[in-house]
Amino acid sequence: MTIRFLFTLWLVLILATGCNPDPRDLGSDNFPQTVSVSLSGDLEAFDPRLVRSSYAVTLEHMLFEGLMRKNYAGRILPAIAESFVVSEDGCTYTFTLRSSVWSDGTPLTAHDFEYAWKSVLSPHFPAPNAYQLYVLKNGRAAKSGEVPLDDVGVKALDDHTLEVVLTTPTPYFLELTTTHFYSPVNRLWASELSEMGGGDPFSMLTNGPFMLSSWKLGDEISVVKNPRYWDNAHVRLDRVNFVITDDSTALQMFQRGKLDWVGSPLGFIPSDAVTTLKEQKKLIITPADGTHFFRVNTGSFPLNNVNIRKALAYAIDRKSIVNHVTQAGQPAATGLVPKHLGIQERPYFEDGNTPEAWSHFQEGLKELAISKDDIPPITLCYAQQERSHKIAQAVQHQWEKALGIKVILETCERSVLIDKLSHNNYQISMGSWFGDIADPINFLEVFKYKDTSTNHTLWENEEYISLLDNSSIETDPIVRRELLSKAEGIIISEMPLIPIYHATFNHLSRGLVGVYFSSLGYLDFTYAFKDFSKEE
Amino acid sequence: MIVVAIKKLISVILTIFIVTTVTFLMMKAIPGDPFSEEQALPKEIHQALREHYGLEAPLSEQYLKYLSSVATWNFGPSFKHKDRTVNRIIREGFPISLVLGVESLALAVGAGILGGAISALNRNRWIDQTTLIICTLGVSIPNFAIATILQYLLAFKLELLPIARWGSFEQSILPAISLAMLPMAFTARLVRASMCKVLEEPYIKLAKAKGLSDWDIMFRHVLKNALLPLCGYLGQLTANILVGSFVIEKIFAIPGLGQWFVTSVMNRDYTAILGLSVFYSIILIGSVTFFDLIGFFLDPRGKSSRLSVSNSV
Repeated sequence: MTIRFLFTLWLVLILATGCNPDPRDLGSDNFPQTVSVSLSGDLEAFDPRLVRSSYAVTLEHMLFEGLMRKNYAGRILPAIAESFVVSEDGCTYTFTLRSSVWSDGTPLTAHDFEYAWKSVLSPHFPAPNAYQLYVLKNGRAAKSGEVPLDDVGVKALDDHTLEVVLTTPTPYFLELTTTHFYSPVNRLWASELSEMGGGDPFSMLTNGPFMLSSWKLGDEISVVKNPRYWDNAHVRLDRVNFVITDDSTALQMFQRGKLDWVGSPLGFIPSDAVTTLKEQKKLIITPADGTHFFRVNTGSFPLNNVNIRKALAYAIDRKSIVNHVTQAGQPAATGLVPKHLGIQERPYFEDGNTPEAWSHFQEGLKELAISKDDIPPITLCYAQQERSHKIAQAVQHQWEKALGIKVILETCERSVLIDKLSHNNYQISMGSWFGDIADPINFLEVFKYKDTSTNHTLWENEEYISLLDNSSIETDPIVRRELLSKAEGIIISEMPLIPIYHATFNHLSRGLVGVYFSSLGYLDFTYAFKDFSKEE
Repeated sequence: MIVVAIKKLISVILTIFIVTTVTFLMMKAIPGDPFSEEQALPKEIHQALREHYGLEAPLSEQYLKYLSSVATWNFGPSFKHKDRTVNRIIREGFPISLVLGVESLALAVGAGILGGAISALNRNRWIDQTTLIICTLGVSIPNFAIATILQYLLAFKLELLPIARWGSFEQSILPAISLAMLPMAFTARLVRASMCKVLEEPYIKLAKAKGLSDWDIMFRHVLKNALLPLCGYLGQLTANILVGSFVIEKIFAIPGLGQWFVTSVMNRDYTAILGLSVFYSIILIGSVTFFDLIGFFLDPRGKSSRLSVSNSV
């Protein structure tokens, strides 16, 4: 009897554990302009002052809008700021704001911008992106507590006029104002938050083209059109759902019509599927503002010799790596800055030139007064990832073949690798840099000072530093371009990093028109819509 | 009985204390912190963040803070996901993992007992051999491989079931089957072995000689004794399944608790790591105790086994 009862209970349990209709199936007929995008990981927060992850940037651009924005072609256009004037010395910008409101209808004023930027620079607010505001006068000093926040170079002259004073005439300042680092926040809402920032995302007031509709932890984030957005008339999408899934699952869901966009920038196309999708001409490849390179510890023997480093760099056959290993249309890199940012006219060296690599190798050996057999095995370390592993194996083979050097591959967990880098406890390490703004300085500054937190190579060059400093105050774009180009030439001739390839974004999408996919790695759905005639 | 309960309670508290301490020491020992990333922050910003979140305080101070957060069951906000508290993460993720876990367990235990019993009764015949093969496959093939194959064949190719996500019964079928395979196989083997042993016992022969029907022998004598060893296994298994499996949840995009166990360590999310470890230990202790009690009641030897229960923790 008991067993029979248990058996029935068992059956009932199994059937009862989830007989509810999928709520997501309801309503999508009422809102045809609904887009579902795959997202690889959940966001850390929604407050624009607290987020850094690349996924968050897309959401921030949907929920918030700053002084300026970028359009389709990457041109900087007025957004909340209707117009602006720049002083003669290039240090003072006066923005005139248009009339716009927050999502609860209260007016957005210049005071909100002032409050937001000053709170980021406050020593008590845990804003990881504070350093992006150091171009403001006294920005760095305010963050370290040396001066009061009132001395920071941002001031609301009245509700619609914002005056910004920079330390030096910064040619890429307008580029910075398009980023979420310079977002406004509603000062009444923000001042009520606890000291840690963050808070309930649904009580957060936003001013962008979309507003947060639902957030199921680890599952899905949903945004809907913001009826109070100043340019609301041109926003055509009703709803965008960001579905958090694993990359392979996302691809399957896309192929069965459950998702409209999969892959970069909010996820990845599984590397095994890339070649097939490319051959089927379904994969969409776009340039990214990113470069993959190897960091070289210039303090570690024998890598302290520049000719040895050059030999290693020239011995790599990048073409075969991008054609056979990564296979996603990435351009081979001989420089640090992505080519489309415009400072590199021709390759800095010839890719895969093994004879020249060999001659540099011989010269390096002579300078170090050692023979080839005295070279110890060199360790190449990288974070555990399938693609990195394949690239490392390819390079190991190329170095052993071209120079006869033994290479040891070492994988470790990402945080452990970062720790090793920060203690300079490595020889060669795989790395990359993806730009925060579409300006070459963002890449070149990675290696500016020996103790810059992103450097780790123990390399520093005085001329390089002064070229970068001069470029940041140079207002003539042609002269600036030459300064930056010269700086890149210096770093490549010293090779504290070995460039491998420039990144690309790969994605699949269906039926979407008007999505601005920035090379910085975020999507702008403001003027996008679904064209049903394009769906297969 | 009261003495046993008090002893148990003390040992539970001691266990949680040890878990907290060991977790804290291990967390602090591994390199990295919640704010380290490849696109590194400037040193002074990194330092300011560490100070703000109390990571620069002396270790003893941090330790006491963690102990008090466990005692008050308030772990504070997650270091990585600043908008939410660890309590909320557990509160929202656990029910989902729980439902999936219960479903898998029910499937595994039910089918496992059934399979094991049929095997034992038809020893060495073809049905026994077939069950053996299926069980071996279930134990050797990792659950994520089963999951991926099932997802590809049944959901993607044949479109019989949804590919992923959570909410409806259909969406729970494939993940439940994937999770249930290993325990089902193990249970079946365990039940088969234990039943074979019981079936050899003299009192079973006596019952048959007395004229009891096969059904009666099965349900009144054999099963109760055969299932006893299973209780030991189920205690551990239940805890593991109920808190969610990282891989299955990832493959089927299920927003359960399982993924947090792994991602919180990768992100060095200290508060989340601590909260989840303590939560898991409580679930583990709870489920082991529960199945110990069931075993105690199932055991017809009564008093003599009471001693063994009070000695086991």
